[in-house]
Amino acid sequence: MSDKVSDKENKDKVDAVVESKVDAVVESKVDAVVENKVAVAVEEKDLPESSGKKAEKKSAKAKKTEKKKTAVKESKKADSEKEAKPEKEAEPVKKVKKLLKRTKPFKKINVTQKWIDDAKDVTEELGLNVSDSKKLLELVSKQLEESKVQAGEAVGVVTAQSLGEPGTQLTLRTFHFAGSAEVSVSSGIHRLEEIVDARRVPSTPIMFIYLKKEYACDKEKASKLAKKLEETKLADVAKIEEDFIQRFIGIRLNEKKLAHHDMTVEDVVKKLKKATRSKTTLEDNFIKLVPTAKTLKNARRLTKKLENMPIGGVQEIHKAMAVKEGDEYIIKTRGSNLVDVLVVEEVDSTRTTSNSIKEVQEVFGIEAARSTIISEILAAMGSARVNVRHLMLLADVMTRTGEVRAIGRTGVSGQKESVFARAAYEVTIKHLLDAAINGEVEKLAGVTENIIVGQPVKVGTGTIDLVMKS
Amino acid sequence: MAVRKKIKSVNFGLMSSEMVRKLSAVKIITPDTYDEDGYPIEGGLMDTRLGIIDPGLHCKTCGGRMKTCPGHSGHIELVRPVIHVGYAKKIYVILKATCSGCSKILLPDEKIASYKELLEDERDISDRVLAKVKKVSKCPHCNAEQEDIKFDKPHTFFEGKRRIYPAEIRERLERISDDDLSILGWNPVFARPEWMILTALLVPPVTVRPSITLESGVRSEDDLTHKMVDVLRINQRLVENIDAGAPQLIIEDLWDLLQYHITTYFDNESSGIPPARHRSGRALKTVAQRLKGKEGRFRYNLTGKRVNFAGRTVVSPDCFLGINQVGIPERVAEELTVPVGVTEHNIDVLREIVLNEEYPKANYVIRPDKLKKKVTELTREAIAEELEEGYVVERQLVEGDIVLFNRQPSLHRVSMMAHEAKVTPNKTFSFNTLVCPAYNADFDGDEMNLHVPQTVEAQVEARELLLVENQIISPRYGRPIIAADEDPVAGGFLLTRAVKEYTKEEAMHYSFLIGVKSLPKPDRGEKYSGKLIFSQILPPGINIEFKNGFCEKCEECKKENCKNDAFVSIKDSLLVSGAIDEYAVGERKGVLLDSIFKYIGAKEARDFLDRFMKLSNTVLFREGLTVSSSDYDLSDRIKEEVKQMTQDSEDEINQIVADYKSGTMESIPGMTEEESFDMRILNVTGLLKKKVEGFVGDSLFTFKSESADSVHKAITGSAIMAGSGARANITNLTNNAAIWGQATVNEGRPKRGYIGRVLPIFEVGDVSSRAGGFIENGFKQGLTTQEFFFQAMGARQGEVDKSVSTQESGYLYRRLSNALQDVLVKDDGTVRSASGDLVQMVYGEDGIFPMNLFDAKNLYEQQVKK
Repeated sequence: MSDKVSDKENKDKVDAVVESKVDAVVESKVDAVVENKVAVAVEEKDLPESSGKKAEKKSAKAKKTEKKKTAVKESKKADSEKEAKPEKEAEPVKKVKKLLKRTKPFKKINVTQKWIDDAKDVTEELGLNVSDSKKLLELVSKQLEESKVQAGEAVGVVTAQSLGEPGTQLTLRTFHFAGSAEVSVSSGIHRLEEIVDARRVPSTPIMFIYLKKEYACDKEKASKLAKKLEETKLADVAKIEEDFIQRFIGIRLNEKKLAHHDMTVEDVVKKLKKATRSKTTLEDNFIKLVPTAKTLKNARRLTKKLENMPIGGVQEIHKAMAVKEGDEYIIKTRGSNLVDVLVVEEVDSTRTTSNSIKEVQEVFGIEAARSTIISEILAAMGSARVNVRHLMLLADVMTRTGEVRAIGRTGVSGQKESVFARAAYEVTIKHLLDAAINGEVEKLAGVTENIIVGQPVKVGTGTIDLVMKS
Repeated sequence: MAVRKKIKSVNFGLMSSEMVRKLSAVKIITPDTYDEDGYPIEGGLMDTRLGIIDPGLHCKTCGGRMKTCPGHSGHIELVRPVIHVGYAKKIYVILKATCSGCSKILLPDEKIASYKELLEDERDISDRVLAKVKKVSKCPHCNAEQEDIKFDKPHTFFEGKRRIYPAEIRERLERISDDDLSILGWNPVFARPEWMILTALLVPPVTVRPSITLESGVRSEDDLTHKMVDVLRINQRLVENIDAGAPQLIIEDLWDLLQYHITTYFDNESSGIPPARHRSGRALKTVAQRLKGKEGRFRYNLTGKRVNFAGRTVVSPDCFLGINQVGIPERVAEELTVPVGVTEHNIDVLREIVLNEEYPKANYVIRPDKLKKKVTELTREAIAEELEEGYVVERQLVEGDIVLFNRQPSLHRVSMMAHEAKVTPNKTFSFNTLVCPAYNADFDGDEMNLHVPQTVEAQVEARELLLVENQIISPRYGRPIIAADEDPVAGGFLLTRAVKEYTKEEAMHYSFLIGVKSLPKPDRGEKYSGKLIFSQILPPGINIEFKNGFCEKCEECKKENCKNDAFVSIKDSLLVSGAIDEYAVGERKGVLLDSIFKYIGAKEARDFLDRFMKLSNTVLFREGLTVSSSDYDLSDRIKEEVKQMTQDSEDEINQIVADYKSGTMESIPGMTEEESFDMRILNVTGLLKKKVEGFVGDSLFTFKSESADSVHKAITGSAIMAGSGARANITNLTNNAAIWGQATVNEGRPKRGYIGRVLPIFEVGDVSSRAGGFIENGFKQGLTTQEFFFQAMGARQGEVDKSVSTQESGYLYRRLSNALQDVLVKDDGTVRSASGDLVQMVYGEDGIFPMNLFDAKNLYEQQVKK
């Protein structure tokens, strides 16, 4: 899901709508009766988009400009014909035009050369001639139009059902090891809950570190980097013992383990000096450290501190390994720390990401968080199939305010405007008491509220009224 | 009969004691309820001015009877003010923010003025004000020293060491100016802080707290009434003591007691105080408890409503009903009615119905003045005579009426669909098994609900939107959810296997069944192929190509000449090649069904399903599908092979065990030694199972390995089921025929049991494959005792997991639907929430509803290629 693309499209669409409005106003001054045609022309600017084919989207833009021209031409022609019409009619006609703009008239699909060119790879693959590909494009475009959501569709409920119904089919097993060399990933219902709750730290934080070209294809280099990233504590590479008689702390370094983390004895000594400011002597992988502390208690505290002293790697990265993905090596980690990993020279910071949604939001921004939500839910759902559009809606509801909000009383549901809806959900009493002193007004706009007072809900067929001629 | 909105909005606010007095119909003065004759006492809690709960009496306030009087509130005049528990904390905050002497905000005037300016663009600045006020120790207005205010939960306040009583608090709160209040985030129009301290207590109407008469004739009062009695008693004692000039200490004690009773009247679960109890020890259910939680007013009565015109009974299958139909027992149909307005066009028909003495009768007739008349033997003729335009006849349910059918839990929208009624002489609801997956229904005692829509709008809506045929495609994944499953899949496969040929008699039998009047020309000499017969149920204009479940994904597809008959090709509604299996008609997969629905239409798809059901089930009836233990016989060669593989794996495991014991095993990074040991063994056993599955599959699906001219010939019942996707899969077959594999508990080998071993038969410390739960037998050979136990451990956990995950996913669903229920597509195509907040500019980035998803390649085959 490329958010950037979708964003840009949305913007384009807004522009297009604004444009068309301006056009409409200008035109309405000029002519009064050709409204119908103009409205159609304006409508056609808002072209159908294909579900996946970028090519068609591009062509849509091209078509927009084309249409505009024809619209103007038509209006001019009409102008000369109906010049004599009095200006009075402009007002009501404007209204009709507005209405027409809202109701989409049936449009004839016009397959342009651009479309044909753009869809060339597909039509060639199918071995179609020009007339057949034209026919196909026409069909696709018609089918697309018919596949659009209908106004009033309760898409939110459909999304909730689509995610809730397969819940029982999801695995309860939290961890899932795919092969011995993989990082464990939590999946199934617990992971889904975690995402939806917008928890700060996932139970299994994982990072996907992509590497710059020079490193990505070399397993050696990738593995070496992985080792470098792993957080190493002193206790991981050394045995720490206390000698109470001679009053020193002895640190016996394991050279093999040091090498594993790509470090030398000197590195450790330097780090030690910096951290403790105590007197250290080094002899043959054995560091003698004389604590400045006088009491036994303080000395013991120092030992504990030394054990947990980070001497290498990135904090929070408990494990890192190079894994082949496609034709390059990436590093998967257990534990997540984007801020510190992104600055590492070898890391390709444009692709590296994490499964911790809050962290992604803080480091990369809300759009990145949105797309992480989508991809993470998709992964958590496993074999239960759910269309992405549902996940997009969920992610959009969660990220709408520019901050990841949880689904539930602390987030989306708790921030609803309606008192009844909040009271009917959870913590009933508190919401009612607060509503009273704040003088809140229940506007009865949502679903629950109207059910509570026993009125038709404004969803689906409830959004329109049937009025019978008397 | 369009329903118009009646309530535009609801305003919330606090009630002042003045308002309470104004609203009150009676001032309650005595704690007694009834006199000796069982008649309500005036000025008591059951005063007839508060409303009527006994039939026959008239309300003294409005004159209404039991059904017409809505009830009226009364009030109790409290001698000493009392704090409302729910607002104790708010009182605390305000007391802290204002001066104890002059009740002004503890900030200098210019600061207050600057905040007032802020107020214009920001809504809530109270937090900031409160943070500032904390440090002030001297009032900038009257120079009074401020003592620290302490709040002792649930409703006691101290200033320094001195306790301040509600009366004093109330005085202070009264002095706060409206301007100051708005800075503190209050809207004085709806709520003044002193209103949080009660001097008059509203007494709810008796209709809210009806008393019930037990069989013995003893009256049992509602919990709220009990609580009000307590309040009244203490209030009275307090009055007496004050009047008698009792010492301050006693008065204060009684005051606290009054506070306690009023606190528990509002909320009997507030922390810090013991809940008020009945004599039996049961805690009273007071105001807050009535509203709260799953069984509270909001969730139980307001968001979930009970309805009339509904029925519920056990369900049974009936494959000869269409998917749109539902069989309704006559007894149910006699109870449920549909209102029909009398017009000049139908008056004769309706009159006849009213006159009917047998089943399709009319139960009630409603006159234009809304008077409802029951049609009985005696009244029948008079009513029929009286009938004229404008009357409404409530006639019994008949065949063809639209009804809503539902099974709980209603997890998704296909849990409630509209069916056409078909009245049957049975005692259960019956329906076509094709809709089972949608309702998630089976027939082991499931019950389902039926509703009859009462208005024309509702009936039309049900027919156009909720009818089963319109719900064939699931909006979750855009593929059929109402589709063939189990038997019909197997039957369809049996029918369309390449080798299948039928005589003219058989062909005619099937054709008759599916309503085909003229037989096509035989395509196999004198005989008819099953594919040809199947083609008869396809609607015209189907052109499609796809691969079924037997496809082996060869590098180069042989298309029509596939040896597995895996290439399904339908040309102009004629099945040219390929067998029909779950990939054609099954849930989620059914490409053929999907295409019929999307490119031909819902009616045609429904018709296809109905006829397919009849056809394939009859094929099954006639040909039979037998599963026998011999289905799982493996050839000696395969047996030997499996044995060898098992042995190899065991050797490998033994090696791992040896390494582990000697400490030379290399552990997997990031895991402890024990974990890596387990993981290694699980890997070996997992691989083994997969390999065996391959072998067993090749062996049991014998047709796969034989030559093309004998496709689907030598095939067993079990293989038909698994292969066509009707039931079971290759893993199940392997479990039966060859090995079960590693038993797992909690994603690892079974561990719990005796010290150092899982079962007592093993030696302490035995970590070998067998002691770790490896099951080397299949069900056909039979499991050893130990293996049986290991297998049961895993199975038990699966069972537990299932019930746990149902609960968890239930709550997840509740949260999701609560957060998303108001999100819908507006007329302009944008997606917005109830308050109008923009969620998406275009739904799902492209505006396509998943239910309408289509495959461009399909479209091409269907429409262009031909």
